Order: sequence, then structure tokens, then C-alpha cells
Amino acid sequence: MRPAATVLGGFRHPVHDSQRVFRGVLDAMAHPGRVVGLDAAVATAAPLHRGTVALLLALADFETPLWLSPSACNDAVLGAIRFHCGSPIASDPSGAAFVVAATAAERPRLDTLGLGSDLYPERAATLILQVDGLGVGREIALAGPGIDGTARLAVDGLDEAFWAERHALEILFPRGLDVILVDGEAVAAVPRSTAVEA
Amino acid sequence: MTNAMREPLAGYNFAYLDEQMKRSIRRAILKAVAVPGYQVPFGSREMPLPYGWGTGGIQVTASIIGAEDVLKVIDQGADDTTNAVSIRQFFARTTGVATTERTAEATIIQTRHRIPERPLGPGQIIVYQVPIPEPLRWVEARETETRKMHALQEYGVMHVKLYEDIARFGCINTSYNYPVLVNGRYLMAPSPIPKFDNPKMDRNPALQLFGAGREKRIYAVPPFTSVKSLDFEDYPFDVQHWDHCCALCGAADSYLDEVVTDDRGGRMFVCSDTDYCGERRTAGHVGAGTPVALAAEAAE
Repeated sequence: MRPAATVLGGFRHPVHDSQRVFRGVLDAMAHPGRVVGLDAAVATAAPLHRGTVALLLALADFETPLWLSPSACNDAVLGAIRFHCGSPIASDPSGAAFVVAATAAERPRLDTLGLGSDLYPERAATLILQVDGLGVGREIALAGPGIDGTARLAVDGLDEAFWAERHALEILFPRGLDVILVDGEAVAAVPRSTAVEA
Repeated sequence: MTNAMREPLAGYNFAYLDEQMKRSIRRAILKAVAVPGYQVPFGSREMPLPYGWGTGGIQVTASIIGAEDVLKVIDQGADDTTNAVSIRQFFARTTGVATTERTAEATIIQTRHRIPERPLGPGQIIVYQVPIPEPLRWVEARETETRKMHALQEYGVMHVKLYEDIARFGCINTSYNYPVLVNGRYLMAPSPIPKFDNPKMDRNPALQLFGAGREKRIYAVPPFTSVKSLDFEDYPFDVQHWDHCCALCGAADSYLDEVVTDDRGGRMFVCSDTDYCGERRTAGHVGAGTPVALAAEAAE
């Protein structure tokens, strides 16, 4: 038997840290396109960014099946999620409440994920997508609730196909996908209510 | 009046709720923000207050509040009414956060039945206590049906209800909990605020969260979101007007409460928002009458 590996540390102050991380992501979700620092001093295991680990520690638990993209399915990440969150690991992304993609290349096609139903739109998945940079790179125009007029979000390392797939989901509202982009400790949200420039 | 932070009560988790409950409420809040006006079900818990005393709002506040927040709680616009005092003390004890009566200084405002007169700013969060979250409940009792009506955006029946008001009374007689359409999609109950406050919800820079404890629903209106009160072209939406100004501060633009001052018909109209009224009086505004003067007039 192998000696037990050290499990990645969680929040230093679970109560206050998860509250602060939640308020950060609430601020991001209420202001689509706003880049918000999560201020989360957590350890991380490659390839997950600190923001991704903080989001999972704050929001995931036994009620939320989690799908991890292939490069994130390593022992350190899985061990930490089992220990701190207890989330069931989904083998099929369509059944996951949180879908974590370590890179844009590893993300599933957006229309294959759980989009909720017209009767229960809240059952749609949240996609946590790691990118190369927020505030730099290609600019996209956003409009909708939470935005005074138009917002511009610059994202580096996200392909054109992503925005085209995301735009194609808009007609399905209130079904849809809530996306949280992560770069290091920073996050920006694009909820389903946001119209993106195709 | 602002009370500084203090040590929270020992033996309870921060803000009373356990962490798993907070997480599930937080996930519901995020989905509610993503689908403005849609009522997200949540596993409402028993609270140390009875249903009907704001348990939904308390659970929402408990899930969002942090040590750095400054909390204001109002009931019918006033900070010093029973419900407001109990809830403010509950959070002061279980979280130790600073509390205030000043709208401008608060980061979180929990409210029953009013929106403060002072415009809310970006970064503020207002939490409404909601008794009946379903605006269609009085025209369709079945949850399965109202859920379908929301899914299909089938809201004609609400216009019929408003039309029946016009047919019977000559005007839309609904004066509180006046139905609104959020972001052009979901019909929403604004909670029992007077319709006077409805226009304040429209494109408000603050985040608006709604919690219904007994009915186990959370919903939200993100900042800068269109909130339109239902009406007809020939019967446009209108708010209450008064022939009086506030007797204490002279405000002509605020929601007024009628207060009986004696047993001889003496009464006065005063601002329902006590912080707004107090701020105006501090700034030197004076109303036309005091209760004593009015009582004397009535006695003559």
C-alpha cells in the first residue's frame, strides 16, 4: 500500500473565507463582465487555478455532482475534492452541477451540458472555465441584466467557437448555462441572461 | 445611529445557519441572479422566529453577510419597530457585525414592506422579506400550474385581474404587492411594498434579493434590470399621492403614514421612512404641524 498522500489544504477560515469568496462571485454574477478578485489564500494543485479551487471549496458539496476535464482528473485534485467538498465526480458532463474545464480546449460543447428545463431553469449547470487572462486579449461586448448599457470583457485564451456556442444558447432562455471564467484569483461571470456579441 | 462591531455569541455558527445550509442558499441565490425574477426553490430551515416574521429574508441575509458588512433592518420603513429590532439584534448577536439606521451607510438592508426613500447605490444589497412569492397564487392555486404559466410566459390572467379592478372600481385598485414584469420575461411579486415603491426597483444600481421562508423560494433582480409594473395603455401605472406633506420634516416626495394622535380625530401624516425623515429634520427641514398642534385644532 502506498503511503497516504498529503491532502491539499482548504480554507484557513472556512466560514469567513467561503463567505468572502461567495460575495466575490455574487458580485461577478450580478455584474456580468466585471473582473472580481476572489481574495482567496488557498493552496492549489495543477492544473487548477486558485480561483477555481476557491469556488469549489465555497460552493460544491455532496449535493452537486462535479465534472472535471481530463487534465484536472489527477490524484491531488480528486483527493482534495473528496476530502473538502465530498462532491460526486460525474463521468458525463451533462449530469454535473459544476463543470470544471482546465482549459478552453478541454471544455465540452456547451449545448451538451445541463441547461435546465423551462419548468426548472435553476437545474442548469455552472461552467467554471479557466482562461489565460481576464482583462487582456479579445474584447467581447455584453448586455443584459446587471449591466448599465454595454460592458466589455477582455478574455485571453478563449476560442471563437466558445462565443458562437454561447450566443446560440441565448434563444433558449430561461434555459441556459451560467459561465464563470477564472484566471488565477480573478473571476468574471457570463450568466445565461447576458447577451454576448456573436 | 450606528452600532460598532462586537464579539458574536459563543456556541453558534457565524450568522446562525450551518455552513452546508448557507452553501445551498448561496447556490440558489446565484441561480436566482442568473434568471432574474424566477423563483428558485430552496430548502428553507426552521429559524428561531416564526414563519411570517421574515425567515426567508433572514436566511438570505445570513447566507450573504460577512464580518465587514454594515446591516440595516427596516419594517414598514422604520428601524425601531418590533420586527426590525428583533432581526437586527439577531444578527448583531450571531455575527457581531456593525448595524446602522442610516440607509447610506448600510451594505446590506433587510426590509419588510418598504424600499428606503434615499436612492440605493451600487454595491448595496437589499433583501426583501416575502410572504407569498407567487404573483399568480390568488388566480391559480396549483403550484404545478403556475410553474407552467411562468415557463410559457402565460400571464394574460394577471391582466384580467387588473382589468376586473378597473371594471369594478374604475381604476386599478391594487395598492401593494403590485405585479411587475422583470427583464421583460418573468412576472414577479415585489413583496408587499406599496406600489409607490415599484418605480424604485426599475434599473436600480443595487442588487435586490427576495426570500420567502414558508414558501421556500428565493428570487432576485440584478442591478440595472428593467422592472415594469403591469398596466394598460389607457390605464397607465400610477403611484399613490397625498394632499399632505410630512408633518415632521415637510417632505412632499415620500411615502406617508397616517398616525392617529388622540381620541378626538387628531391625526398627522409622517414619513414612513424614519431615517429619511430624521435626516431631513437634521438638515433643518421643518414640517407644518406637530401632533400637539393638530390635536389642538381638532379640539377647537
